[in-house]
Amino acid sequence: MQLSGDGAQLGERHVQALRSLGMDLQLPLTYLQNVLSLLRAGYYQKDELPHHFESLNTNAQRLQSMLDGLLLAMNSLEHPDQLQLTPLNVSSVLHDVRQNLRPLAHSYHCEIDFQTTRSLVPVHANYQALKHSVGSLLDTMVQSSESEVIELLAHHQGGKVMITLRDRGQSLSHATIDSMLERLGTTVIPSSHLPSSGFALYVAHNLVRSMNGSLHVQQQKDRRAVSFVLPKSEQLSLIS
Amino acid sequence: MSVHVLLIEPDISLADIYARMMPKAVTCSHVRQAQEAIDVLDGEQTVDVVITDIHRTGSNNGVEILHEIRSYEDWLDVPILVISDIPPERLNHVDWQRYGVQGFIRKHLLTPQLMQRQINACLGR
Repeated sequence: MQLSGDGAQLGERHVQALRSLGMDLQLPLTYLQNVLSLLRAGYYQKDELPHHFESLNTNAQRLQSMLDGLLLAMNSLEHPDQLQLTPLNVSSVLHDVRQNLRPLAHSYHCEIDFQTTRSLVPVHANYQALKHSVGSLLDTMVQSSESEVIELLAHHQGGKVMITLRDRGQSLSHATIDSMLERLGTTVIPSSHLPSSGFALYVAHNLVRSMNGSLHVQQQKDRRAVSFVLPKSEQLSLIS
Repeated sequence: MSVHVLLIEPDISLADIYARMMPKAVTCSHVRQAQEAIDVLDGEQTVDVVITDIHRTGSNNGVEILHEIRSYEDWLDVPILVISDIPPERLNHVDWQRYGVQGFIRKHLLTPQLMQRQINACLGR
């Protein structure tokens, strides 16, 4: 029996995806490795250690969060009916995400401005999936944004709830975005000629889809926005 | 004799680490963006070595920065080291020789000893 060759193509895509994934996980890993290197070489004074352990902790948490988000996205693809959806207060989830990303935003001289409609209806969603969808995109935006303020908005939109992340930054072509949404692999961003995996977009797209929502990317020159539209919960009571 | 290094690194925490790794005789000027780098190069204090990230440099990517620096006659001979968390094989399309890049260092492999060796090599020591 001859090998079909299909396996080789699948294998190569898998390797590409792993390499790209490695790139996206690299920043917090780099930070951890660099700090450990300095600690081993005795470059820190005792009174400096608490500050650096705090940074170590923040980056370890970022790494953990990226892995958790990816695992959840992968599981939602494999077992789409297993994600537990309940009535969810969007404002409290977004508040949590903003709080978690405050140290990173601060280090990039950036602020996350959160605005929401009063009495936002609850959505039919999953806390972890929503947290990772928004969190992974915000993490990327903070690092690449050309704005001092990133807007995080939550409003009603045609009977549903729309969450929008908006800032100024590098625009991507529709083809590049489509590629990032569907496949975790290397895409070369034409304007920078540099590779990117679109990790955050891929995770967010798959998690939002598993919550019966939709993800939309809008770009105009140097202004960009990513929106999630989520169905509202049919139940009036919230489980907090 | 004091050496002036210009570090172009968008992540403040990483910049702090890399500044610590530099030899004691080094004065490090840290900037996050290309325009800030040009402003420092244009300033009163001569820059002896440029160390730049190649990927996350805000609105300009690192390759653009290299192009900008080398397009000015006064800065044609300034040694440049590239630091990156992108594997070099992913950047095969960049002509490092054209930009006179003297070293490419993977960020996660940086140690104080390697940093010092690379800077000394740029200065011909």
